[in-house]
This record gives sequence, C-alpha cells and structure tokens, in this order.
Amino acid sequence: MNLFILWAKLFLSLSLLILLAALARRRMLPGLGLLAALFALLAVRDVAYSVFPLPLLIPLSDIPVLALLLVWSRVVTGAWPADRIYLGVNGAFLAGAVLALFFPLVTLNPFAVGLFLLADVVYVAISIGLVSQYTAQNAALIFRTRFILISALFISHVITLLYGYEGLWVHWVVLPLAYLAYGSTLLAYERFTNEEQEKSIQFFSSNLDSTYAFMENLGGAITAKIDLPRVMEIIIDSAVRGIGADAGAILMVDEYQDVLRVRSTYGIYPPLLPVPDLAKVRTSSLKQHFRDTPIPIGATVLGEAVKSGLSVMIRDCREDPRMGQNVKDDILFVSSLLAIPLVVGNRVLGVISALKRAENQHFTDLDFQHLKTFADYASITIDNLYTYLEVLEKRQMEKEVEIAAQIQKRLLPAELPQLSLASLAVHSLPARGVSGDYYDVLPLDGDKVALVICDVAGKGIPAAMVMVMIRSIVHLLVTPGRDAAATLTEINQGITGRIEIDHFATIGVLIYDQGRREAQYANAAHLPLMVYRHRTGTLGKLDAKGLPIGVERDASYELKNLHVEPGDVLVLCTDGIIEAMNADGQQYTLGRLKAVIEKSAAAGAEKLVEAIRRDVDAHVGAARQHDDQTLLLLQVR
Amino acid sequence: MELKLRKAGPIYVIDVIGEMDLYNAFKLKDLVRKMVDSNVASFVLNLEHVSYMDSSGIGSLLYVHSELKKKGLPLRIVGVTGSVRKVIELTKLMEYFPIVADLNTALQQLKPKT
Repeated sequence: MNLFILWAKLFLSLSLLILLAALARRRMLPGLGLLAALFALLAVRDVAYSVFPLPLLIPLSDIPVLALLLVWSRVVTGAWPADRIYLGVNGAFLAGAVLALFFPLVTLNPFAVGLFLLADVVYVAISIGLVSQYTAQNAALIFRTRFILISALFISHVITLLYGYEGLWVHWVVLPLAYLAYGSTLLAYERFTNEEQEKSIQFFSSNLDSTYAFMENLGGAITAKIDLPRVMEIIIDSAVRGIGADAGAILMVDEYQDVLRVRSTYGIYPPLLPVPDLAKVRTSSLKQHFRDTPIPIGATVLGEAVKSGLSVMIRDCREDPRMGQNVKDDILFVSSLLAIPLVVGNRVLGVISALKRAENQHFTDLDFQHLKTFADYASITIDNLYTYLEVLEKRQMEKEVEIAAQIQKRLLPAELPQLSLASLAVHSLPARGVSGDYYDVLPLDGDKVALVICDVAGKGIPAAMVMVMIRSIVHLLVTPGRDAAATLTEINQGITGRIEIDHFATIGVLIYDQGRREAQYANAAHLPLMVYRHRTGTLGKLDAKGLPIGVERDASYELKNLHVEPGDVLVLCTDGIIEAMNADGQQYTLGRLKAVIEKSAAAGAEKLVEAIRRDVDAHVGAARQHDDQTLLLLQVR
Repeated sequence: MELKLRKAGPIYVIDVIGEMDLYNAFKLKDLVRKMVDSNVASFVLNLEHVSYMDSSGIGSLLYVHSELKKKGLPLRIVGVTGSVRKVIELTKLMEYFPIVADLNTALQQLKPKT
C-alpha cells in the first residue's frame, strides 16, 4: 500500500473537517454534527486500512458511512425516517460480517459484499431522492447536493464492485470521488446559509413595508368616524397582497353563538363547508353563500384554528383530507391554505385566512410567517377598535342622559302650593345627574289636592319623553270628578302602545280631601303609600293592586280609601329612599323612617323632610347613591 | 352583560349573564329581534346568572315578552331568584311574566307536540 495515498486521503478528510468547523462557527445548521462524524469515520478508516489492509474493511465501513448520510438527510429535512429500516438490516449484516472475520467459519465473498453494498447505495439514493420540495424543511439543501452525492456514491461502488479494492487506481481516483461529493455538500451548506440570511432580511423589510402600508390605510379609515367594515376590508386586502395570495377572508367569532361570521373577503374565497349546487352556478352566488353561512367553531380548518388557537398551514390541499371538498377540479378548488387565529391575550377574536387557488401554486414557510406577524398586528388593532367603540357608545348615552336631565328639570313644579289644612314638603335628588323620578302636586277645586309620584324605567331622552307625556296626561286628567284609580286607568290607556314598552312607568296617585280628611290612593306598581298615625305612633303601608303603566292597555287599578287625623303624615317615595344602601349593603328600613318621623313630626313638614333626608344620608355614609331619591310628604293639620 | 345562546331542539335558550341595566339592556332586545327575524319560534330566557337588574332590565324583559306575544311566539322565563325576583315583585310583574320554576319545566312546556 502506497503510504502517499493514505496521506493524501487523510489530508482530504481532515480538510473537510476543518471546512466544516469553520462553517459551524458561523451559524448553527442542522446535521453538521453528523457530517463531522462521517468525515471523522473516513479518516479513521484510512488510518486503519494502512495498518490492516483487509480488503473487506472499506466496503464494511461504508455501511456506517451510508447510515450517517441517511440520518443526516432525515435530520435536515424532517422527512420520513428511512434510516430505521436501513439500520436494522445493515446492523445485522455488519454483526454477521464482523463475526465471520474473527471466526472464519464462512468466508465472505467480496463480490457478494459489494453487491449488498450497492443495494444499500440504491436504497439511500432512493430515499434521499424522494425528499419532496413541498413537505421537507431545508429541502433546498438536499435538492442541490443530492445529484452529485448520489452519482458519486453510485459510480464509486459500481467500479469497486467490478474491479475490487486492491487496485491502486481505485484508491487514487475512485475513492476520492466520494470525498469530492462531500466537499460539494459542504459548499452547498455555505450557499444555503447565505441565502437564508438574505431571505430573512428581505422578509423583515417587506414585513415592515406592508405593516407601514397597513397602518397608513387604517389611519384613513378611522380618522373621521370608525367604519368597522372598512377596517376589516383594509385588513384582508393588506394581508392578501402582502403574501401574494389569490383570495382571503376575515371571520369573527359571533357575540352570542359559537359560530364564525364572515366579515370581509378578497377575491373569491370558496366555502369550505358543503355547498348546494345552485350556489355553484355563478361566482357571485358562491361569494354570497360564503358570506351568509356561519361556520360553527370547530368545523372546517377555519373553525379548528379558532377552537385550538393554533395557526394552520396546508401547503398542498390535495394531501390534506380536511380539504376533500376543495380539491376537485371545479369552482371550489383550493391549492394551498393558510389560517391564522386572531388572538388577544387568551381570547380568540376570529381568524384570518388566505388561499392560493391556481394549481401547483403553494404557500411557503415565509408566507406563513409573514401572515402570522400580520395577524398579530391585526388582532391588536381590532381589539382596540372594539374597546374604543364601546367607550364611544357609552359616552354618547351619557350625553343624551344629560340633555334629558335638562328637559326633566323643567317638568317638576317650581314650588309646592300652600294648603289651608295640610302642609307639603318634598326632597328630590337624582343619582348621577339625571333622574327617572317625576313628582307633581295639583290643587283641585275645593279642598282637594292630588299628589303624583312616578318612576320611568330607563334614562335618557326616550325616558324623558315618556315623562313629558305622563305629565301632560296627568295635568289633563286630574280633575275633581275623577278618582285616583280612574285617573291611572286613563293614563295607562293613553300611554300604552304609544311608548316603547321598555320605558314603562310606575305611578302612585294620592288624592286628598282636606275638608273631610279623606285620602284615596291608587297605585300602578309603585311603592305603597306610607301612613304615619300620630295618635298611635305607628307607621303602616297602604298598597293597591295594579300593573305598571305602559304594559297592558286594559289593566285595571284598585282604589283604597282612608281617613286621617290631624298630625298624621302621608309619605310617597321612590325606591331610592327605601333601598338606599350603606357601604355594608344594608338598606334603610321602615323602622328607622318611623323613628325619624316620630321625633321630628312636631317641627312641621319642611323640617321633617329635611330630617329624613339627613337620616338617609347618615345611613348611606360614603357609599355611592345608586338610585334616584324622591320623597313627597303631606302632613295633616 | 353577556348573552349566550343554546339550542334544545327547536327551542332556543338565552342565558343572561351579569348586570342587566341601562347600559346593556338594549343588547337583549337586539338579540331577540335578530332571532325573530331569522325565524326562531320558541324562546326560554334564563336569568339564573343575572347579578343585578334595574328598571331598564325589567323594560327589556317587557319588550321581549310583548314582542313575542305580538308574533304569537311562546316564551318562558326561568331562574328568577334573589334580587332579580325582588325587582320583578316590586313592579308587580311576577304574574304578568311567563315565569316557570326551572329550565326543564320550561322545555317540557315548549316541547312541540308530536
């Protein structure tokens, strides 16, 4: 054996190792360690061959070399593990061969070994050759190197099979051929690294560009007035253009149901759910069908993305059973699909999806990354807009409530009438600037006076309008000849059907005859009349049956009569007084009200109301007043 | 307030969750309007998870009740307890509303006759 050849080969494999080390320092790449092991194995083999020039050493050591190549291709591409079968079969063969070397029961025929090895080479060549450009990561690396690698291995093994390993020229020419193939693989690595870097730079700059463009467009859509449909349109347009897709759609989770609703589309996005034949006739009807058909969360690839919160990439829809409906050659055909859920915190707002529809056009990993980045921006934007719109709506409502407060202030009597045989006093305090409470005092002919207390549901202008209507009708209807129950019946008939039912009102009507000291009370679901008896010092309730005003046109109202004595106090009030709560959530009680009346009744109606007000205030303390308070009081003289 | 829809055969159950007050009572009205437009025929309103209700909340119940009555569509209200019950009692509407004891009773009553 020529020592020079040994040195030459050793030099080759060592320089491959050095080249590899230089590469590895620049960037972490998959599979470099395996190649290092392969080169080291070659170096060890060459040294071993110079010491024990066994003819079988080279073909047998080629078995682990090929194994390393197979494992390498799997690590680089993440493709099907063809190496398991290879390792199993060859491991057994190698063990047998080593046994045969030490216990020469059987002589190994070099030609047979060569044939076996050639079969190995063919297997390796096929499995590396099968790596698909679409399904493998880093496929470009294998793509560029496999032709040289496979042919070099093939040629060298065929030649050694025909001429054996002993020939000098085999060592000079044939074996180094394989080394050169490895060298070219390393060079491919080098080029691949550079290109990847270039690509990622391009990716980030184009990402930045499209994000800027998106922000700019969005600015236009939300300056004057927020136009949510327009914003959705801009989002899907920018998303689709950014990655050169053919169609796109943005779907949002429904507020009430577990379904996705299509908010905006770009191009023709065919439905992923079964479509009736009629809708397939024209593209416009197909578009319409997609827009109008909600997708249950969990159904189709889009529903799955929302349910799991995970992004989906289907490079080739023909290879995915979920896309079964969309791979036939018809109007529904989809070639490649991306679906990215729009996530904020742990909430999934919806999903953005893009399609390639032309045959053999597929999305790349870069497109996928690009759309993911974009979806992040989009979800934050949408979430902000939702929040903003909600605040805006509330603000508008509050503004309306303020206007209503102005109207309503003018509805209340400027001052209470002076009566000869009774005294009146009132306290009214709106919660948060506006009241749903209305009260009125109307002197009637003779000695009679009518006291009205009313609470309209809801706030704002509609509630104020209802109050205006009630006030007009009350002023028209409260006449000496009409009792309290008849008054309520007619108010109800006048109002029901003319107001929105959700602005119903509760009204209590008290008509007091000073001369006879007779009172009558009718009640449309307001609080009962409270009656303080001076003689016995008791506080009782007087209620009368009846539905709220505005609910049923033919509702009837009960009339209750009672006789009073001098010093007795009649109290009409709204929930805000009796339900006034303190910081501990305790309500103001009737017992407490009675105590105040007992103590302060002698001071007169004005002072009594003031005393009650102060007592309620003392009870509430620092707690926020959460309902309007109105208290209308009549003291019999 | 949050509204959730469930389906029990042809009957739709609306679960109302949270506060029913001035600021969100319109949501329930909107939802029912939409459901009527899309031909839902049978309704159950579940108030079990309502934490607070004011007169606007009652107003929205009245609206839903009258709207469905006008269309001749059946409605049952369930889960009326605690503070919600108190507010409805105060406005004397306990008998007026089609309130039933629980969801099962409601579903039983609304089940289409075979």
